[in-house]
Amino acid sequence: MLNENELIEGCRKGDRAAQRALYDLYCRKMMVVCLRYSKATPEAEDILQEGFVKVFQAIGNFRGESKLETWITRIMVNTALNAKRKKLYLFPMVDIEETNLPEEEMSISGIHFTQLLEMIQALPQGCQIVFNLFAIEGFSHKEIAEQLGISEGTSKSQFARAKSLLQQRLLTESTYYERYGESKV
Amino acid sequence: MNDMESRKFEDAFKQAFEEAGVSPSDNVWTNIERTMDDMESRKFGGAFLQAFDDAGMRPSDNVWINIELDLMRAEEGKMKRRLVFFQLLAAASIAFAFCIAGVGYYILQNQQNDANGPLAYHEGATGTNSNTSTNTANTTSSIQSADAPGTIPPGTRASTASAGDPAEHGVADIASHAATTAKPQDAGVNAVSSPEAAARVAQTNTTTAITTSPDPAEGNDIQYVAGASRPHTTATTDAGSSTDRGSLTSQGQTHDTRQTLLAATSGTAADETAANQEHPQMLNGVTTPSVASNTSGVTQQRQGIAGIQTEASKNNQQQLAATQQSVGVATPDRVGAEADGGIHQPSSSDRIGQNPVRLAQTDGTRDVTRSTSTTVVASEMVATANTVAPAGADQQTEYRLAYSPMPSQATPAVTSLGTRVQKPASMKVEPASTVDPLLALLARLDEQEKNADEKGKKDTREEEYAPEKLWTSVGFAAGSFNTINSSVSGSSGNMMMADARKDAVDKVASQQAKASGSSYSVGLSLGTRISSRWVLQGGVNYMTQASDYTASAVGTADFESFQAPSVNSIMSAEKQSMSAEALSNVVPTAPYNVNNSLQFVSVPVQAGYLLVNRKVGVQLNGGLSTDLFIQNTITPEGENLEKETKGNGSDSPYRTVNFSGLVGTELTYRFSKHYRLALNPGLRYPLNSIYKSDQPVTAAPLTFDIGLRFRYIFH
Repeated sequence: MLNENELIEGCRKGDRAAQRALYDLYCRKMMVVCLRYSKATPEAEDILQEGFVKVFQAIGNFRGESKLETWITRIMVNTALNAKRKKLYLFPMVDIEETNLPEEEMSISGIHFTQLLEMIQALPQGCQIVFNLFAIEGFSHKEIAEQLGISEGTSKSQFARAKSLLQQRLLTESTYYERYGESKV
Repeated sequence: MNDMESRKFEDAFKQAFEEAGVSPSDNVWTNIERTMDDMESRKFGGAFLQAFDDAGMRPSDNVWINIELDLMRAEEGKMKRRLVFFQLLAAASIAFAFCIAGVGYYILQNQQNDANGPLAYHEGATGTNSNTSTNTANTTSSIQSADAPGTIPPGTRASTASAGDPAEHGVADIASHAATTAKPQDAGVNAVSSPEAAARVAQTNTTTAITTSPDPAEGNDIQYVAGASRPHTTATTDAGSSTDRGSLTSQGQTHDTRQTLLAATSGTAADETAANQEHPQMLNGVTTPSVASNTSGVTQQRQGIAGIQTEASKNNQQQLAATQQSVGVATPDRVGAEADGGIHQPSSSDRIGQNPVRLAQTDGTRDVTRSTSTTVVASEMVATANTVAPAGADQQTEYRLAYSPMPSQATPAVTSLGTRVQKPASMKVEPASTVDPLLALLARLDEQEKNADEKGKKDTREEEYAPEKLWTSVGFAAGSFNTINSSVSGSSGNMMMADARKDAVDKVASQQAKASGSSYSVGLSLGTRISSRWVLQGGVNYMTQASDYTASAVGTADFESFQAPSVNSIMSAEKQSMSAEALSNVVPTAPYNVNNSLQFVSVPVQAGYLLVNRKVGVQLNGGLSTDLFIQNTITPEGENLEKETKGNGSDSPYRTVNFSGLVGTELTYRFSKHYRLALNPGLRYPLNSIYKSDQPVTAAPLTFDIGLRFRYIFH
C-alpha cells in the first residue's frame, strides 16, 4: 500500500496504478461531495469523472500547502460549479423575501446522511449551491457572490430560504418520527 | 496634605470620565450583527457538515473507465498537437530558407551574366560603357533582339556606334524594346509545388511570382518574373500543356514556360539555344515563404533546367506523388488508426500531407503515382522535404488496422494500395489474431467521439494561445522593383521635334519603361481578426521607388541652366509645346547617370490566413492597395544640372491614383502578451500602368520587398 506522497509522485509520472489507487482512496468521499451539488447520481458521476481527470492533470501543481483531500475537494467543487454555472441562467437567483423560520432549530442528529443528501437535492438549484458553499464548504457570502456572479444579498437570501426549507423538512421528519417511532427511511 | 491634593486631582479626572461617552460609527454594530448572524447560520450548517464528515458512497465502475479514456485521449491529443506544430514549423522554415537561397541564387546569376557581357544599352560610341550594362535589365531583349531586324545579336556589345549618331541606336533600341513587349505577359513559373499550398493557391486564384535579383545601386536587375494573378483550374494537371498558361505546376512549367517564351520570341534555333544557355534562371522560381514545403518545387526547377524537360511532365506527377507519399502518411492520428494512410484523413487542411493524397486522387493520375517512385529527384525531395518522412520511401508495405479483418476477408482494393500508402517505420502492425477486445472497444469508442472532440480541442487550443483580436503595427520595408510589363508606343517625342530632342526623349522613355531600382516604404497598419483563421489588415504607407537611367544629352533654354531629359518631358501631343520649351536646345553630352525617385502614399487592405497561430506564426496575405502618387524627383549626376521635382496633376506623366495587387507572407514571433515581431516578404504589382493612359510609355513595375513590423496587440 503506497503512502500519500508515493501516490502523488506516481500520479505525477502518469502511472495508471497510482492514479487508480488515488481514485479508490478518495472516490467515495468525493462522490458525496458531487451528490450534494447535483440532482441525481448520473449527474454526480459525471462531475466526479471530470473532477478526477482534472486532479490527475493538475497533480503536478500540488505543492502540499494543504491536505490532499482538501485540494481534491476544492477541485470537485469547482468542477460542480462549472457544470452548474452553465445552467444557472435557467434558474436565475434573485433576492427572496424573508421567510418565516420555525421557532426552534431542528436537530439533525440521528438522521442518516443519505436522508440529508436527499433533502439537499430537493432544494431549488440556487439554494442548493449557496447552502453547500456557505454551510458546508465554509465560503462567505461575499466569496459566494463573486463566484456565482450574484449579489451578496442574493446569496444571503438564498441561504436563508435553503435553511427554511431544510428546517421545514426536518420538522416533517421529526413529526413522522414522533408519530411512528422510527425514521422515514 | 499633599496626598489629599493629589487625590483631589485624580478624583476630578475620575468624575470627568465617569459619564463620558463617545458614539462609535454605525459600521461597528453592523459588523457585529453580521458576525453574530454568520455564527448562528453556521451552527445550522455545521451540523450538516458534521453529518457529511465521514460520509462516503461508491460510484459505479463506469466512472473509472471513462476517466481512463479521457486521460488517454488527452495524452494523444498533446502529442498530435506537438507533431503538427513542429511539422508546420519545419515546413515554414524550409520554405523561408529556400526563398532566401533563391534570391541569393538570382543575385549570383546576375553577377555571372554581367561578367559574361550581357547585351548592353548603347549610348554613343566612346566613353564609359559602365552605365550601359545597367540597361540590360530586360533579359528577353537578348532573345528579341536576335530576331528583330537591325538589332544586335546576343552576347555582343555594340561598340561601333559613333558618338554623333545616337539616333540610329535609339531607333534600334526602341525597336528591340518594343519587340520585347510582344512576349507573353504571363510567361513564368509557378513556384508552387507543395500540393497543400498548391491547393490553397488554386482556391485563391493567385500565383506566387518570382523574386528579382536586384542591384539597386546600379539598377542592374535582371527580371525573371512570372505572371500576375491568373486563375488556376488545378495545380497539378495540365503539366504538359504548352498552351495552358493558367494551370501550371512548378515542375511542368519548366517545360511549358520555355515553350511559351520561345513561341513568343519566335527565335531561331540558335537563339533558342542561346536563350536557354544564357538565361536558364529565367525559368527558375523563388517561392514566397508563404508556400509551405516548397522544397520539391525549387529542387525540381534546378534539375528541370539541367535537361530533363522532356520528362518534366511525367516526372512532375511522380515527384509529386513521391512527395505526397513521403509526407502524407507520416502523420497518423494514432496507432492502428488508418488503413489507407491518408485517403480518410480528417478534413482539416492544417495538416501537411493530407491534402496531397486527396489531390493525387482527384487529378486522375493514379497510374502515374503507382509507377516508379525512385527517381533521383524524388529521393532528394523525400530526404529534404520532410524530416518525419520515413527512410524507406521506396518500400511498399501493407498496413492493416489492428482490428481489421483477416487478409482473406479483405477486399482487393485494401490489400493493394500502391505507393501512396506507406507504413512509417516506427509504427507497429499487430496481427489480427492477438487483438485485445478491450483495446478494440476503446479504439472504437475513441473513433466515434473523435469528430466532436476535434472541434472542441481546436477551440481549446486556440484559446490557450490567447487569440489576438485587434492590433496595430508600425513597420518598414525595403526591396526592389522591376518593370516586367512595359511598352513605348512608337516615338515618344513629337514628330515635329528636332531629331536630337526626340532622340533624347526616346531614350529616356525606353529606359524608364524598363526601369528597375530600389523601393522603400514605412507605415502604420491596423489589423483585426474576423474568424479563427482569417484576419483583416489595413493601413497607410509612405513608399518611394527610385531607378537610374543614363542620359547623354541635356536640355536648355538659355544655355545657363541645364536640365536632364526625363519622363516629365514626355508629354502627350497636345502638351508638346509646353514641354518643348524646356528642351528647346538639346546638347549632347557624355553619358551620365540620372536618378528618378517616385513617391507614393499607399493604402493597403489585405486579408490574411493564419497557417500557424502560436507563439511563432505564419500568415499568408493577399489584398489590394490604393497608390496615390505624390511627386517624382529627377536628380541628375552633375554639378551644373538642376534637380527637378514635379508633383501630381495634369502636368505629370504619372497616374495620380493607381491600384496594386499585394501578396505576401508574414512570419511572426510573439515575445510578450502585447507584442509581436513580424517579417513580411511580399510582392506588389500595379493593376494599371503607373503612367497616364495618354502617355506613350506604359510600365507596371513588380516590387518585391521584405519588411519588418512591430505589432502591438490591444486585446
